[in-house]
Amino acid sequence: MLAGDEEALTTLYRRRQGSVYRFALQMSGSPALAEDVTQEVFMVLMRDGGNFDPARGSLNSFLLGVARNHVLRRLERDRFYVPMDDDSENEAAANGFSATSPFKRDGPLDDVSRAEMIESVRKAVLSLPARYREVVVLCDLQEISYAEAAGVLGCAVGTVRSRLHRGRALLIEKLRPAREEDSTEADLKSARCFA
Amino acid sequence: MNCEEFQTIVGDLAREQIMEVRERTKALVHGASCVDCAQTLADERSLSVGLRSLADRMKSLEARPRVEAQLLAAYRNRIDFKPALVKSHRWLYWVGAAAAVLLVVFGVVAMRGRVASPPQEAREIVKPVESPKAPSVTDQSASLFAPRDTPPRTFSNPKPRRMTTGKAPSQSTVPVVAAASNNNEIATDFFPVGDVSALNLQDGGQLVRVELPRSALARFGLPVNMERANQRVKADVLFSADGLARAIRFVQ
Repeated sequence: MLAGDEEALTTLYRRRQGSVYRFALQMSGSPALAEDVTQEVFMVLMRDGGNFDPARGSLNSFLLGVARNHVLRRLERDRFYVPMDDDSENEAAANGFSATSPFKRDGPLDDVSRAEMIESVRKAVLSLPARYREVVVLCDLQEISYAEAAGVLGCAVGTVRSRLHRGRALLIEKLRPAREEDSTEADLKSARCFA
Repeated sequence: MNCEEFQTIVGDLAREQIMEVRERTKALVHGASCVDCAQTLADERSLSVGLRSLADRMKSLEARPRVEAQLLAAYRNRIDFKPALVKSHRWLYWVGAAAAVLLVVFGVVAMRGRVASPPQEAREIVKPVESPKAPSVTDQSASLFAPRDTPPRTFSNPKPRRMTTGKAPSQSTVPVVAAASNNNEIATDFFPVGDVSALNLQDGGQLVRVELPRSALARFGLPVNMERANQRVKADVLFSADGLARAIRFVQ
């Protein structure tokens, strides 16, 4: 690829872009930002691909590390801007990343509660502080090992474990009220039915 | 297993990570017996289910094809422009190298120029001179204001100075700083002032141009025209390294 083989770049991009894109999307919640980051990551690979050292980690770790840096930079830059819901919703729908659209296609009504649960989890993940969010995204959503996550984040495995523990505890705290409300609503509905 | 130990592995347990069978069994036994830990495990498992569902839902997501198209376009442009970029970089390198060489050459020339022709005010010529106890001025009237380019005089005739204070210089060699001034200036020899010794002046000194009343000439045994006694006369005072005035000469 570095020697000018376009076919190699295409193959590499198609094989790896999904992971990079999903990581950026799960970190930011913005499909547009995720696409920008994906493009930037592969631009970096084109430009500075010689810096990649296989002895220091896998290519996936390298790409996710670059993506992480870009995402954090963009989030830091964009934190003063309020996203326009209409546009982001449209973009999300265009990407197929919407809480409701996928499940509308599925049809069964019992999947709606599952969709709501997934949406609440997604929002809870996005509301985590970045240092916990990135660990949850890498270990739980990207499902990579502690060691690989440590390579992406440039920290010790123990740090990854402790951040993941803390991040999950925060997620449970954030999701608990929603669950309790859901159960309360369910009780009320059933009471009405019996009344 | 106690609750604290359980908390350290409950995440791995809920995420179904690989762990020792014995440790897993202990944790499950504890979770079954402890209400709080059982609740924690249940919460963690619910969270894992939610996260896994989210991950499964997003597994098929990818960037739109236009990203690939833009990337490939950038890649092609990069390949096309690569030789030009390399060429321009080389050009910059050559310019930088030439600038560095010129800088070095100018630096060397400037250093040589400074060494070859130091500023006249700063020029110090240290010449060992046989120094008697007190410098004398032979043929004072004629040579009082000798031209500057005449060879420096030697303090060969020990003649006590009337107005000088302190000890006269010893017989050892005393560095004498010749005047550095215009060719049309004429100056006397240096007259010792205070304690002049080879030790004091061997490191040279600093020459300072001053103006004194013409009557000061008399203090060094030089003739004074009393009609012009109130006028001022230029003099070079030689200060040693310790800051004390060691010698003086008069300039016209």
